Amino acid sequence: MNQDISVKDLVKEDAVHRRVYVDPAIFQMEMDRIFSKAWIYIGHESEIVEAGCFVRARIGNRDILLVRDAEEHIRAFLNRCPHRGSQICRSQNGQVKFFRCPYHDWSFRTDGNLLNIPHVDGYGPDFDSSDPAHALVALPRLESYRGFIFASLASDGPDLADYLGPMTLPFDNMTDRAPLGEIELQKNRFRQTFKGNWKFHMENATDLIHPVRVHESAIEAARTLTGSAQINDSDPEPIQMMKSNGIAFDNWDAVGVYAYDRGHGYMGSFYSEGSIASSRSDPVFMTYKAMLVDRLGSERAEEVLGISRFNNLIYPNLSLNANFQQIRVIHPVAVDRTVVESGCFRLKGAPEALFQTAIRFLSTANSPASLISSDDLEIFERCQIGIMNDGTDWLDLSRGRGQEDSGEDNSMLAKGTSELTMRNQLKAWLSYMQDSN
Amino acid sequence: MNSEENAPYLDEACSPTEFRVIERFIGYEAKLLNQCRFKQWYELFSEDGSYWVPAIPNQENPEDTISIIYEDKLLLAVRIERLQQGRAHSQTPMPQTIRLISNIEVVAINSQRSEYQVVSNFVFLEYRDGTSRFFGGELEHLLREDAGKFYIVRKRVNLINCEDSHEFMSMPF
Repeated sequence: MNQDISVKDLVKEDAVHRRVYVDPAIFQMEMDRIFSKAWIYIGHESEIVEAGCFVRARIGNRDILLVRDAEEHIRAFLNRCPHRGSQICRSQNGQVKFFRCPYHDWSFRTDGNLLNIPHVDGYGPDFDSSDPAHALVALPRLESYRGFIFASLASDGPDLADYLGPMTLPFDNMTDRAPLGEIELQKNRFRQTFKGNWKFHMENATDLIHPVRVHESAIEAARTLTGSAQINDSDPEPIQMMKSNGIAFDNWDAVGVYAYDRGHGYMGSFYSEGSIASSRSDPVFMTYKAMLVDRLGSERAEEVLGISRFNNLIYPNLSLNANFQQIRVIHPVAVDRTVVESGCFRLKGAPEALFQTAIRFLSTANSPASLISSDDLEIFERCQIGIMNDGTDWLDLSRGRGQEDSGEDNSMLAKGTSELTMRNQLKAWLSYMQDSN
Repeated sequence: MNSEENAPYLDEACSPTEFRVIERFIGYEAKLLNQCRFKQWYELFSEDGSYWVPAIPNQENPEDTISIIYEDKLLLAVRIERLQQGRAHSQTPMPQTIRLISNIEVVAINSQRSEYQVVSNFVFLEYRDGTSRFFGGELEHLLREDAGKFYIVRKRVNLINCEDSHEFMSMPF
């Protein structure tokens, strides 16, 4: 770690220093002070339903095994052998009775404890096979909220519900939308890589001044091919999504952005027309709604379906969209390289057509060949290249500053085109980065 | 493809003339894409045509599983329109690409001899602004002959690394 870095000089109220995005020493500090302290989402309980099921996960550059052990407890380990450090498991997911290192054949129970070392006599009579030093390295803290599993590499800190604060809402809302009260994360995900800093992606997720320009090519192509700027029920959903990016700035302002403690925040929904709007009333949706009313009662069902948000950001690297059952995790790889993993959930009990909408949403928005996010990723790469120039050091974040209002739960809210949420993320960033404990 | 299969390069059901026409069509399609003649490429698709790049090996269903691309002719038209209008940041500058296609095999012909199912292997090279990369895999074409012209009814691109993490992909394969 570079002790010379005075991080407090890198973030102002309305600007951020370019080093925050380009300095490898800053990146290493982020791994140590943010990704080793905060609660980081690592998976969903529906991925590991049975004993012995596991999935691979990441916390920053750490390679994690998330496992349901033989007693059906959820465990998370570093994916490395305690002996010589070999990666234990290369599969993305699977089901096992035990884990076995391919190097010297050490094996481990699904609870992480050592099962067997071949020819163990070689260690002499004092060897203690129950010594935790010979077990898989468990992550210090693990907690779930509504099936969403988070880990923290710090042994102390706030519990998960405290950490999430008012941002428990999107987890509740996504789960409550299921007619059977349960959701299931789909095994197949997209992973997009870009040559840029991870924070660009998180900041852009609630940047509502960018869509009109960055996504102009998709907006215009969708308008041209359907002969109309109007968003129609009859347009295929991907076309409605593309056209929605082209709404006027006044409409973006009306969407609103919201900031909470710890860097969390969200934006309202901007899908206000067509069959992708929250207010949709087509036969499939009405069938689904009736199912929800059966379980929750009419008032509660209306309340659940009435929550209309787009990106919900849980700092540092998770984004949820409850309305379309989407999840996106931003994995920092290097100061100038990021992997975005995105998936979707099935609302158990809901009509298949609703699930297919979630699939289409995911493919339209987050496929490597997406006509929408390709242009976002290109811009992040251009930012990374642009700020390598050291002629001027500060990136401006002043839009809408001083025009925020106070909301519930210690939140701040502002017009959609305000840069409030970026300022809020960088405030949290500074707070983590100044804490050297 | 199973191991018991005989391995005839030229399916006996496909005449040398038919095979040659199909081979030339596949080559022509690749040339249009190599030369960024996207509109003409798009016009090769039948009205009920579709273009599918699965995200999962051996993917069976494009509706209940994510796809890198799964587009009918309208959505494909949006993709091509965007490529042509010159305002797409991720296509500025436009990548240069080249496709090498081989191991062409006609695996099925319908009884009217109007539809041909064709499988081939491809390598795709792309260069854009200082970065070169490649993709490879298998192409599956369902071709239909109508009034002396061939149309693409279905094009499926099975990338060997479809499940991997990717930088954005701008160009059709």
